[in-house]
Amino acid sequence: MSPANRLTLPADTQLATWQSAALAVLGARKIGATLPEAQRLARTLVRLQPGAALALDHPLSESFEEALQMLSHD
Amino acid sequence: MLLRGEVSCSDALAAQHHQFASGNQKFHTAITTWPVSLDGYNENSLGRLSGIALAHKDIFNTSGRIPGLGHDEGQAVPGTPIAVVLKRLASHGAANIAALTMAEYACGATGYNPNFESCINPLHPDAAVGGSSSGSAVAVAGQMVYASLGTDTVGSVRIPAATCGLHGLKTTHGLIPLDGVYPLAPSLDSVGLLTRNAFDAEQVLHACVLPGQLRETSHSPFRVKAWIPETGLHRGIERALSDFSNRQSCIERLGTMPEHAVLTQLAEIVLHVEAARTHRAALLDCTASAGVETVALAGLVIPAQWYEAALAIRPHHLRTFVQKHLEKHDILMMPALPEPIPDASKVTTGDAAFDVKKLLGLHRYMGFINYLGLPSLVVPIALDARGLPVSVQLVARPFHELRLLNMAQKIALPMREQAGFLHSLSI
Repeated sequence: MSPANRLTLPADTQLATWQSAALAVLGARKIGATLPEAQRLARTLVRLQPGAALALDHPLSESFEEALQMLSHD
Repeated sequence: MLLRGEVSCSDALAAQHHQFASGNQKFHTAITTWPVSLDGYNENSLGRLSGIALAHKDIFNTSGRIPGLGHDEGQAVPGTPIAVVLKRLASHGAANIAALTMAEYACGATGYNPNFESCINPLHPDAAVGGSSSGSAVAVAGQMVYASLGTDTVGSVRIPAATCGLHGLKTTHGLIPLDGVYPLAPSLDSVGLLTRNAFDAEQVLHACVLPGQLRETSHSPFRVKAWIPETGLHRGIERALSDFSNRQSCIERLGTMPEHAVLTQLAEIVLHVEAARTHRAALLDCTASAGVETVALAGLVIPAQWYEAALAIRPHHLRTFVQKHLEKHDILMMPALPEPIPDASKVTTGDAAFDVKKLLGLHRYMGFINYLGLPSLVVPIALDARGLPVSVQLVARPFHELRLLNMAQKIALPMREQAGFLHSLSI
């Protein structure tokens, strides 16, 4: 399976965790950090860790709109 | 009566305008109202919606006006084209008489909006009004209009419908054009309808779409699969749904749906990142409202590859979900809300009675459906001990909205009847 067919989800995307990170971004921006700097800081602060990998055995080339149309038929 | 010529369109519209104004004094749902224009009306050539006055969430462009989005009262901008969906409704004869209140920038699961007077739930003054299409739900439940358009990104049509005893239809992603509709998270956004019954919804839906877009449906008994979660569901809601599924002779019943958690997580990633893109300037200037910050701030720091992966894997999840739940079944039934309709105080941040779990619970069964892009309809099926509605959520294959509405015609609780005639539950 190619790496492109594996999606690693965050271990925890609870809103509070993400908001903590985002607030850190804003705080950093307020004291003059660039956005990339602030984002790096935020990710460090909340220690984002990868979670379980989802293995896909399906090509990712299909568009969502095409899938909706195809699956509309009983 | 309109079709039989017993009432003229102008008389019908004038009566509805009066009724809207009267309801608005009680329920506080209009941001702006417009007089009915009869220019170009031909009483001898009636459209599907001729003589019908509608009002919509203040998120749609109208001719020469950009919407206020729950932030302000909108702005006259000459040359602004009307939203495509409103143009279609007008072409079928519908009059647009008001722009309705909403959660600020569509960022909220309730009708709370500090910029405007709070709208009142016509079913019970203490009950919460769901959001973000709160004004749409109040206007329809308050008999002010027959139908209203809203938008649904993670439940913003279905949640208010459930809190006000209405039919709330989230359409298949892409079915109704979003041109002229202010975005929140474009990959998840859908235009939706709020009505008091399935017939009205079908009439408005046909006017919103192009011929041939909707799949025709059989009227034979539908094969229904029920997901009634074994955990996290209020006992009274569980009992209402179980009883309902027994009456409907559901041919399969699930107690768990393991993919729900993953799909919800993916929906959150897409929501946060796209909302952050929509509101990026305000977030970085620290001028975003509290509601926008709640929804969009997280998107500033979610890694881009997670977002890209969430979109890339979306067709696979859609196909898997449909094959698993909607191949041998026509409709998947699940809860709309996990608990009885909360009081507004319980879901209003800053209130002494605020309970964050009740607020987050409003979304629980909503966002993953937006991620999958499927059509979904919230329908009231029973009453709780307070006389407030208990709703189910019905899901079908893409573009099978008519199947959902057909099912709803068979099962929906007539909300204005006396409770003694209804299947009432004690929750």
